[in-house]
Amino acid sequence: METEAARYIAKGMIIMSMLGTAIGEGIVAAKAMEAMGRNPEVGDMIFPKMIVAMAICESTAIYALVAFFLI
Amino acid sequence: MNISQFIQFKRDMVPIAPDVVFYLWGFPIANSTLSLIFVSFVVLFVAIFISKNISVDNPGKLQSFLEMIFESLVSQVKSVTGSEYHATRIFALISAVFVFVGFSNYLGLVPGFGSITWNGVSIFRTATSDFNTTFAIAFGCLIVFQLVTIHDFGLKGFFLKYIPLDKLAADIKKGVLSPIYIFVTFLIAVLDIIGEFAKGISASLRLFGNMYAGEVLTSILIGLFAFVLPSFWIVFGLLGSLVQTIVFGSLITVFYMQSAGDPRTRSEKGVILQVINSLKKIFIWKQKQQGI
Repeated sequence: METEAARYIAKGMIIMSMLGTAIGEGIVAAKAMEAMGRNPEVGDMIFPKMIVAMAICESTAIYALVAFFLI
Repeated sequence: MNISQFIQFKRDMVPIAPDVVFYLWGFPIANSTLSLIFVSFVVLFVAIFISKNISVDNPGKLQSFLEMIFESLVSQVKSVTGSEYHATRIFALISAVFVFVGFSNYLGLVPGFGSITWNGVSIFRTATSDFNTTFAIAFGCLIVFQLVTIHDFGLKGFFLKYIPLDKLAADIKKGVLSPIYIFVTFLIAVLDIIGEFAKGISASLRLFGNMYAGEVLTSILIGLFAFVLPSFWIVFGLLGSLVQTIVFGSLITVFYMQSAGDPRTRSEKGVILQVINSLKKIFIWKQKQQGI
């Protein structure tokens, strides 16, 4: 196998990490929406916490992005 | 000239490392550094201008706009810290980070911003799409927060926060101590110290990765279909820039809340607080001398 081909396969595998991140962020958003729907007054309290939790979930995707550009 | 050449423009991929525009006494000045200085000066001059021309009776458009930004920043910091005291204490630093990062992100969306070239190198590049900038901001803030920890808990409390020797001593007194427990405690201490560095690296990588990916995706979309498609991405970039600014600022605030305690509940005063208090006394004394 050529080196270039191996690089492209590795890049494709890195893109697979989108799957997990999307599911994780979706769960965070869904639960936050659920909580806001049940108790709309605490929406302003939940929103920044949701943003921070999403950012932490997203960090794996960012590591994958950095690895994508490094390969 | 066939049709695919007409709708697809070849554009060079943005490199990860910023291009060096010129050397100042052997010190390389990159294009992201230039835009960083540009952003800082614009923010500084707008702040000076608006604070000179501030008015209560007849607020101008710019003043109203800045007041809106200011109020949203205050509510954001208050909602993340959750306490009035901490919000007022850290607001200056956090709002500076917010304004700088937000303005840098939005400047990258201005058309023609990266198109001005000098010696074949574009002289401006989004400051936050360079890892050096975001790393410097995050690490500078983390150093400040370590000093905040020393200020709030004292030097002893600062070391005990990482290596909980006092809890170990209490367990020795109780007589419930096993070698594995000591080993795990020190392992957690090492992990905490690594975690402090990892916080800065992950927060700065997140901002850099998002902004850099935005630039790369713009280049790819222009190469794919140059006419309508990139505009959708740029509209999405308007939202993305704001979200990334809020995320970065919120994370910095959360790091502050993790490292800060309440100094009002402390009995003995820390080293830094003593130094600051003596400096304050000297400052007040000088002002009195000048007044008389």
